[in-house]
Amino acid sequence: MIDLLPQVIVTGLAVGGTYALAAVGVSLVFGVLNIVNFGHGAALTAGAFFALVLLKTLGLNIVTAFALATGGAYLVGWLIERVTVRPLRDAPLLMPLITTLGFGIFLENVVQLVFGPETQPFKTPVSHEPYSFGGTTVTVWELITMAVTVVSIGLLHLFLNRTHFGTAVRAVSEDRRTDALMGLNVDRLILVTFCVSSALGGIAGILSAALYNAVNPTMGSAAMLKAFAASVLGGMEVMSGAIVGGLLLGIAESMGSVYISSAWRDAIALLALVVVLLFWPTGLMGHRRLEKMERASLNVLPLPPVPSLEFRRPALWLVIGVLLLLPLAVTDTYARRIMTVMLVYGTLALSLNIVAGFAGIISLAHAAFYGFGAYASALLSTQAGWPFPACFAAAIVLTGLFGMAFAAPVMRLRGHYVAMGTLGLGGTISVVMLNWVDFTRGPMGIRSIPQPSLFGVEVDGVGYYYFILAILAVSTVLVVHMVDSAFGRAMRAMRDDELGASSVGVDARVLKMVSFGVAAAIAGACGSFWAHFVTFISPDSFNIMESIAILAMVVLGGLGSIPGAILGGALLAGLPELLRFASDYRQAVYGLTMLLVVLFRPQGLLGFSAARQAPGASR
Amino acid sequence: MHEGEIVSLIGPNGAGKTTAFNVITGIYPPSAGDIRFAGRSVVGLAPHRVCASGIGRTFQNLRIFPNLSVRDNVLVGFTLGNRASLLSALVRLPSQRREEQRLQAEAGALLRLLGLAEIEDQLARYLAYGDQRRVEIARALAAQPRMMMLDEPAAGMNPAEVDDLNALIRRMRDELGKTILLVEHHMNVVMDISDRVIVMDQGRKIAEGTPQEVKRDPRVIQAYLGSEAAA
Repeated sequence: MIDLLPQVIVTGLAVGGTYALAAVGVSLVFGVLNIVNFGHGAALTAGAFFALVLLKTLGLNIVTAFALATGGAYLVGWLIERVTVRPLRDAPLLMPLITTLGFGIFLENVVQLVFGPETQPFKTPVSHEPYSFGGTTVTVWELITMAVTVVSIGLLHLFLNRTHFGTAVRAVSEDRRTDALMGLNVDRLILVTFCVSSALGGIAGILSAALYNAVNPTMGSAAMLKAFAASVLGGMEVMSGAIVGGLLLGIAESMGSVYISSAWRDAIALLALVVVLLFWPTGLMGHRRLEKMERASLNVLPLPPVPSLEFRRPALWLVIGVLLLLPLAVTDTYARRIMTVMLVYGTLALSLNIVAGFAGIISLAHAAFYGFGAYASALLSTQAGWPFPACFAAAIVLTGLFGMAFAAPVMRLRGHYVAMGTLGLGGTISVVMLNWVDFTRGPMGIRSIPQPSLFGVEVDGVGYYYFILAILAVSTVLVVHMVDSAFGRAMRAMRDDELGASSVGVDARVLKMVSFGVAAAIAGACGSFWAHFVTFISPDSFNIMESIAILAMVVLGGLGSIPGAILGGALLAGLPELLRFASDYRQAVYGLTMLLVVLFRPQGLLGFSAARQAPGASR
Repeated sequence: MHEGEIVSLIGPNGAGKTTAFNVITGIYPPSAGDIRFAGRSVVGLAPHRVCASGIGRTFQNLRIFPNLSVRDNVLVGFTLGNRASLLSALVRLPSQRREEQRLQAEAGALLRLLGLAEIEDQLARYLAYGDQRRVEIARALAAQPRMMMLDEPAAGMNPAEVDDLNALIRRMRDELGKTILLVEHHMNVVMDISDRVIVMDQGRKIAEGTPQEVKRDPRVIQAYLGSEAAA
């Protein structure tokens, strides 16, 4: 096995080079603007597809095609900055996270609509014939990738160190409060940073397309996760860290697929991300120490008032009445199923709102809890033969406990590392579902999950609707009680200023655990319901995209708004069905909705509109 | 420090006054030495535990909760005194309602004491600076500390507000029985209300005594005005 090592390293370095290029782009933007650009994957995809068109359709020679494609990715960066970042210069830092993400999803799906979802070959005149050097083989493309990586990073180094502009970029990323910006056009600085970052992403996209001889529209988001992992590995704002992180990740993956199993290859990046954040909460080479005095919360908009469950109010009765009587008006089985699905997502968004809205923890892992509940219930039912009520109760309790355990590593993290850490943890869980075949049956999923029955009565048809409505109602009451109590106040205080809260005796660790625990328990109930409702579950339903979608629902409805989150969940879940004539556009509409809502109504549909910005409000 | 005393910690910028505060309240670990309060060491305790041991504080750069109302800011201060469990809150037991009413009443009393009752429904972020300072003091008082540590409470206040602050600090000691440790640059405040003054320079204590003694101490004059003035 050891004689494979040189081979493993050579392969790893080539792949790692593309990760490093993409990761440097992430770190560059993070350093300058303190923003995680979730649209970075779109630049990668764009670069690869530009190259594809220029080579194949226009028949340009390879050097010209690659140079122009890199230029195209540069322009994508321009677009990302102008559309998703510049309008939000003074907004809370969560907002650009959502808009860049929305833009990325949108662009990726536009590519998919134009080119189709299939993987296409990426034919180049350069041969894929491997050369052998004493037992170690290397392809021309691997050599080119390594060379282009070195040259690109060298050019970036010159740009950052030898130009006035580059010096300013470094000054800003080393000390964001710097006054060295005097006389510099900050807008232009940020714009160019995005462009350069996307161009680097584009090069990474082109190189990986050539390396694997394949392009597909989702290659960008997959690579973006790797880039995030590499960037976090190095310590997000450190550019040299991103390079080292990328190369390490490439080698680790290549070792993993040789020595462990290629199925777990994609898990390595996520695991590395999680492990590094557990032990080095600001990355391996991060020099910006965890500053305890720093105000680290990413969303600082005021929250809407908690609605009171005042049963004398007619509006509340109206809502309850409509929800109860709706199945009388809608008799179509298919429409009733859609209504049921909408309520599932309303409940999920409601539960994530506890964590994201009230406690201020941007969690990109909520689908993991949902999936945990679904798998727990499905396995107990199909493997252990438990009756539905027992499975349901067990799913709630187990997922709640799992949520509390989940909170432990997350609460050491600050700022953007929270989003990154939850992304890694949530992704790890879905990879486990996918690859622990003996236990979860892997990608085949679990079939023939029994329909739920309560007290000997089988739940079916309209029964599902009323069952999930009951879950939603109970959850809503619990959430309202929770946030409208001393605990809720302490949570909101922690969201505003964790150190300030701890100075009056608030134990943030307990609060975070409780928030995650309650949110996960509700998600677990949804998962259990879902498993027995559709009678078939597979890891696809609980992946990172699903987590992102649930967060988008909360943001759409209004962070910290209880009716808002429910509405946001129901609307975003129902929207694709309402637009069924345009089902191909489902994901693109998702992305566009996220982008537009945050741009034009940052507080969400039912969020609280701050009449004016407080003087000196900090970001 | 003695029970019921008002002590001021003064010194030139960078002398380590705020750092001393942050070490005492568990934000930074001390490099050496022990911190004892009410007979117990508080070294190594997390900030919320330091608070539970009876030390309350305010911050130089205000750390109120900008998106909470003034009343809610103060109510968060009662976290340690809250006897209702999460479970009783989730199902809203009568005992939890009574506890909430008790806390609301106590918060109301504190708000009146600090003259914040009229603005209790406003979000803290929209308040004037002086009001925000008082919100922070009220919040710290709500945790029922035995000792209050105030980090530059007079910063940014006008002379009338400073007079009110002096009166407030005295009342905290006389009526509420608090021991008070103060970091302050306003010499009017320091000389007016302190029982004892500790002078720091470059991380160490250089003098200690009554305000009059300290004023005359040559080491203090040197630290503040440079060596020539002392000579």
